Amino acid sequence: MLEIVPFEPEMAEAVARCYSEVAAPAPFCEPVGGEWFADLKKLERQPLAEEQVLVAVAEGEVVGFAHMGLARPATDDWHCKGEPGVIRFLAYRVRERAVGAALLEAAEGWLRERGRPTIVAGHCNFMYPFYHLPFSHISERMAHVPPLFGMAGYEVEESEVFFAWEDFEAPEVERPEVEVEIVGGWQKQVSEFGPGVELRVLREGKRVGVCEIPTLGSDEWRPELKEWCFCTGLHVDDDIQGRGLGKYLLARGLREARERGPRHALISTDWNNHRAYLFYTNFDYRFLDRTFSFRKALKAARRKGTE
Amino acid sequence: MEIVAFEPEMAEGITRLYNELIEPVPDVHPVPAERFASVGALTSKWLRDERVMVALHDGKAAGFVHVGVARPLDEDPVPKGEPVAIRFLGYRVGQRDVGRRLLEWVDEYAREQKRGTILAWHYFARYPFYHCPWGQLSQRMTHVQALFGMYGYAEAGDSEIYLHWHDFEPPAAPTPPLEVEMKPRWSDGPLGSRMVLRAMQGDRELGSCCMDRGQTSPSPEAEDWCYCDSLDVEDGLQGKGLGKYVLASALEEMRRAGCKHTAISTTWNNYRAALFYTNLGYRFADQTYSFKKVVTRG
Repeated sequence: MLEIVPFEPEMAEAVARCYSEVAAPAPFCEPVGGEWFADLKKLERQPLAEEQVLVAVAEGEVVGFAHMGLARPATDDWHCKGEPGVIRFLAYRVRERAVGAALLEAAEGWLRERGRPTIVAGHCNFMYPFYHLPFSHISERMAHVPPLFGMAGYEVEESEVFFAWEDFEAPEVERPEVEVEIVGGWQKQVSEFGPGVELRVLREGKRVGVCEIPTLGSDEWRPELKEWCFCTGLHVDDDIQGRGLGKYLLARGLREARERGPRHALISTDWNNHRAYLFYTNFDYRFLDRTFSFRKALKAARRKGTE
Repeated sequence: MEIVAFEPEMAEGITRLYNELIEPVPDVHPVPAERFASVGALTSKWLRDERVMVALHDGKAAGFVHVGVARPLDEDPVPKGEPVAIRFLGYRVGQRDVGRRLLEWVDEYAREQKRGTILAWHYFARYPFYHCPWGQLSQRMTHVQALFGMYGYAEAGDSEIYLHWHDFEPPAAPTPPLEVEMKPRWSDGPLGSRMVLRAMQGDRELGSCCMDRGQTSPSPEAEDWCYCDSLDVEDGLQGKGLGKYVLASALEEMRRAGCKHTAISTTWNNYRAALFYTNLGYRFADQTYSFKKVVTRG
């Protein structure tokens, strides 16, 4: 018999096993231990007001879980707006479709009770720190999960596409004639990630462009990513675009990164950004994965005494 | 660079380019040069005025496009409105100008043919040796996909996803929800051999599954594969487990015949089918797209 029950600390190992099994087909999703789920604070990304993990148990065995939360008001550019209800992760074993449907219904009920009429599911802002890559939503390779949301009336909200370049050799690109100063190089920490290359483009002291290529793993943290660097930011202001500065920055950043160790490179972009596709594939990045987040407006619960 | 009409002596160069482009695409294997020896050998019965144009750079094939105009047939899967169809367009990574010049040529061709719509990579015009049946432009050929996005094409909205099941184990066929007799019939098929399994109740066919053994392009593993080309259940009987029973029985039949791996596809937004297949054991393999553009006829 299937039961949906609130998470208890003693379920941490089993929940971690379930996560590991469901995420396994996606790139860079290595198995994790129960310690991650024993303390939800460890899993924090965009801050949430309240969180709950509901666990599906059948014959004493964990067969799925749904992790929900309530988004706080956005305080940063990258935060989801509008304080949606959030489904951070939904995992159910292949061939247990009824478990997935029951978990999704229970998750929606929990969010509805808390007055969140909109649900965002699988968005990168709320994904676990050990899942996939930065900016990644639900991977298409976790193939039995996206259609569960589709069947329940969710629509694709955002889609991020990932590209990989193994054993990369960045080309020599001549610096274009643009009156800017380019500063920076290898840093101990780039943004919230690990060590890597950070190049800043300055004009009259003001930042007009950036290229950030941190490493994501180490011997201690996500060793599967140790030899990879990921271009998490590549930007040139509108008025100096189209002059080859982006190409120069990426090539230079990659060359500097390569000198420090990473052999492989990653990058991502929004699904609709065809210009970026061409730009990346011209370098020699190749398609790796497509990921999706979903959104659904819940119907208001009917009040007693109303039609 | 010049865009010229295909000549038989270009077959080697075109084949090399084609084989290079399909290298990252699952289910697609290299073909010999005879495949491109003449446009006649590739002609589709659903197209007229087919042309293959080659972008030559320093005398070598740097890209090519194969087009035609859909015949006015009231026949599935031929699209209505006689659009121009791009059967294949390929160019090497990093040579976007080659791709752009080929697309500009297609625009001219559409005007010359007085057609207002161009449909690119639609499955009805697929090369018979490219991808699976229903295959369109694979997401792994990303630079070609990007080219269409950059030059005024929009997704045509019938994206197809492909699912694989390596070393498949047919699920235990559930008890059939109705008393049915399963009748397999083997025949020659488009990929090699074809098995159609019919769920019969007397003379009435309640459901069927068509499995094609083999692959569209030559590979040593082709005989190990079977592709589920169709799975149908009578409308009023859907949702009762008959589809699962028919598919499970068909997989058993293919397994008995020696197949080890199986593939299936569905449109991207057919969540019901995707949920059904993935919960049987199929895994994501590829997504393919077709594109559409409206051209001014001036």
